[in-house]
Amino acid sequence: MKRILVFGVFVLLLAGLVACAKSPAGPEDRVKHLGSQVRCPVCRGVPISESPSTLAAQMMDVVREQVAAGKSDDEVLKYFEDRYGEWVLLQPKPEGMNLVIWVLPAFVLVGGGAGILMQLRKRRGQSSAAPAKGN
Amino acid sequence: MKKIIILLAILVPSIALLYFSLTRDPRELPSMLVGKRAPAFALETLDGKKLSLEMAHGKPLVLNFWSTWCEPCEAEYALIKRAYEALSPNGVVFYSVLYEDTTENAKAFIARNGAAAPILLDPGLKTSIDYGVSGVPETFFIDGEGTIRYKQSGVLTPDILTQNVRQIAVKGGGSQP
Amino acid sequence: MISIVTIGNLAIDGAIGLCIFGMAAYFMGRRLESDLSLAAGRATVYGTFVLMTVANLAMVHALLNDDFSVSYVAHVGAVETPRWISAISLWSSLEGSILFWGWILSGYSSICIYFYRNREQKLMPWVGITVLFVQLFFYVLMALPANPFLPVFPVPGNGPGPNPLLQNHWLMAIHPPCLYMGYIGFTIPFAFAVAAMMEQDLPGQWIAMTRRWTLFAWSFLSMAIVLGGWWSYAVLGWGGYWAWDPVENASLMPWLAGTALVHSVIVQEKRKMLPVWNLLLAILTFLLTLLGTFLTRSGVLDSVHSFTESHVGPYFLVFMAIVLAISLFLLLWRAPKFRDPGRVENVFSLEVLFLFNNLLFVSFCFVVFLGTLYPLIVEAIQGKRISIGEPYFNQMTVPIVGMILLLMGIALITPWKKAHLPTFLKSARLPALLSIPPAVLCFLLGGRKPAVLVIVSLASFAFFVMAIEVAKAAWRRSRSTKTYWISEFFKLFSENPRRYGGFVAHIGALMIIVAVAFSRSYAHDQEVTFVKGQSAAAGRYTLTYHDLTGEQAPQRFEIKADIGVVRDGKSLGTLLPQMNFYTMSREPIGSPAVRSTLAEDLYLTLLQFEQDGSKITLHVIETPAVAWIWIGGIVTMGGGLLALALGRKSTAL
Repeated sequence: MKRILVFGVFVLLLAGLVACAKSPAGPEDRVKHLGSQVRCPVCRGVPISESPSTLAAQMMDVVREQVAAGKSDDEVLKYFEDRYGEWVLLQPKPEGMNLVIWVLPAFVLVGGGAGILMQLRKRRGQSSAAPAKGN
Repeated sequence: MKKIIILLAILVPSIALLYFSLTRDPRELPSMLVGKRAPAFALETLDGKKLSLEMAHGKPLVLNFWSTWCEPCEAEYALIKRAYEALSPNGVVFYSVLYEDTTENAKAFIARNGAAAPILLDPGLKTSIDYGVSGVPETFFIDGEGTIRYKQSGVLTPDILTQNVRQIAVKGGGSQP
Repeated sequence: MISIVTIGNLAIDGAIGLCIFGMAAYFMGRRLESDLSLAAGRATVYGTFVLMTVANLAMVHALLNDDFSVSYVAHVGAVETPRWISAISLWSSLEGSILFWGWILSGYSSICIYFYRNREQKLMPWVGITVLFVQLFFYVLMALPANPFLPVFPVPGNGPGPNPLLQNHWLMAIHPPCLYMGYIGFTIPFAFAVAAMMEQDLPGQWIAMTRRWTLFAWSFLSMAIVLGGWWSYAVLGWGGYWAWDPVENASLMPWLAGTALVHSVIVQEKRKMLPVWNLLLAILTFLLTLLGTFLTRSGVLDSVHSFTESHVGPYFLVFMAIVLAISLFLLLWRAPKFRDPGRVENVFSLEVLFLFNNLLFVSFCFVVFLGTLYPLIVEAIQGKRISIGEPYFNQMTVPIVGMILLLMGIALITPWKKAHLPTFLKSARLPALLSIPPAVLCFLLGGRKPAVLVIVSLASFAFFVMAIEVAKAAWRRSRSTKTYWISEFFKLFSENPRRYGGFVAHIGALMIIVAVAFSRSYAHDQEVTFVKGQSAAAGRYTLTYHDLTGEQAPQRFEIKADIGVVRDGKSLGTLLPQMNFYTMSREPIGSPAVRSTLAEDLYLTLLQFEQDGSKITLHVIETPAVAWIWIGGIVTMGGGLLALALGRKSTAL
């Protein structure tokens, strides 16, 4: 019973933290949010919303224009993807093989945790049945 | 036996991946627009004229993006100048789009190196972004029907230039160079 | 007068010879149990250190004297470079940095070998062979693809000077040495792990011997990563300190594995458990330092930091293949014989929590690994280029950090072997209650984001657990010795530096985590254009653009904007964001001007300016709590080093 409680608290916290990785609305906010998903082709480590290069600033203007023109988030991102390649999207598309990058770590964490608990149960069962084998 | 399999299963893919990583250039970007319609543009030249993609329709177009501050561009300029002088009488159009630079710099550059293809100004980098340009020099080879046949990232060599001009000149308009 | 080139090359070639000889001597010494042979092996380790010292001194001499006949100096030196920058140019570019790496590695090896020269005659030969083998690789690099001592003829009159980005800030002086002290230090636990597997002997002993080395290396690596962030913040001008750039990730991965190792060894010591985990973690940490160095230097991943493209890639590949193959072989064939002498008696116990800690850190490491290398995997398989950037990393790591924080608090009040829920809840009650006010305070001050509140609560919980224990311990002692509890507080550290140094390190980590949470969630930035003399409001500040001045410094031309800063009517002085123009580089490098207080930073970058100074554009960023990240880094490192000290109560090494 207590284990379920603890586990439940855990999951709640997790869910809360994951949900917080989302973002708000409001036009310039939306521009910023979209900009943070487009990689700067010049200063490649950073998104265009943070890059000090001129190209990044101009690309942000393009984003601004398109948002003002009523384009959807997907359309704006597709505009850049069509021209610079999938590379320019800072967030990989969650489809096909890419799903691995979300699934695998979750599997490692949850599967690992479950595996540990199962191993421990097994060991405890063994040690209560037979004398412990030292090394 | 099982152990050998595990060892190889970890060792081989890891090393293969790292080996692969050494065989390519991380900075090179894929050319997305090859095979697609060239995005339309209408830009002002250094002399105040207006040139557009429309105006080159039916003719092969070499669209070069450059700047005065990029060293390789200066070397490439000479090559393009020669090609311009040789090929534009035959109907090949050359546009040089100025990227992230000022008109003063361009004028001084021309004064130093001589005038060649018309220089188009792209003040907000709108056209550059439209073409997916991420640095200079980059050159697009567009055929008479407006399809981008090839994109060169980096400096042009005489071979690459002639090869691709030939390619775009074959289809649609313009006699052989 | 022999030339520097000759001295350097002789030293490197000599070191290669010594390594080969030493490995043979150690091997024969172990086989034949020959003291003489073992002594010869030890001598070669000291010998390589001497040779590396000579080589490094020779290079520093050449740098300080602008000896352009030496290839490395011709590559990074310049007559107009200030001398202190010339000296630290030793590690500013690839060849020199590998030379420096060799010196630190040989130094670490010598100290280790000397320290244990009279002990563990079974383990030490393998330790010796391993460190010599690693050294051999780096010396081969120095001799062949990355030789800094190549002769240059004709001798040029001047050089291009070091990379401008590296000249902008004094942090360049300490970040790389700190990083190397960290990275390279993990070679020692690895060497001991190899030795333990080779000898099948005393599975616990190698842990006790390497604990301090691991902690020492870890402390420096922690500081180095924070310094890297600080440098990025102060120099690069984008206002951030961490971009999940491949090179940054390359340093984070060994840190994560290393942190797991630092914790996991405690379980082996106290309860004789997790020996295989510890072997795995020691090996993994070392392999990740190699991977990290490979990624940084071979230029295979697109990064802001790629400071050179070079030919060392293939050499690294071969070396890593060998190390990986040997490690896997040893793990698969010799490690299974290690069995846990200790037994887990209850799932709710500290040892199990440590196990989960290992899992969390390894998962975190795996996320970073995947995010960094997946684009490469996709390219290899599908031929297309994709990017994985900040959004992914934030999504995946924030929950893991949250779980780690929770675990930190819980573990500190969980006993070994078996925890009783009622006792646990009793110890948890007070810290849990105390963690509510900080969260409420945060909420009232405007920090409403759920993630931030959760992190503040969890961090407070962990903090109060530690604070309460320290307070209780000091109070109890002062009651019995009838002295002031303040002096007892310090005595706690001197008697049990391991535990309380550990607390300090954890508190440093808490500072960093909370500061990162605040600075990322509540930063506010905007671009402001000024005409000369104009004032504009930016956030809570009023900025006034006074003047633009240009000044010629020895190695660069500096343009500074004089910005007056006022807040709530009070003048806070002037900030001078500047642009530096180097002769050898087209793009000017900006130096942001930062006004740093404990509460927040005001960060100004000069984006554009008119030549006559009539108009300028600034990027203004206000970020809360940034300073606490740097402070936290120092505290973490201090705590780690403190935990190394010999307490009055603890037993000998």
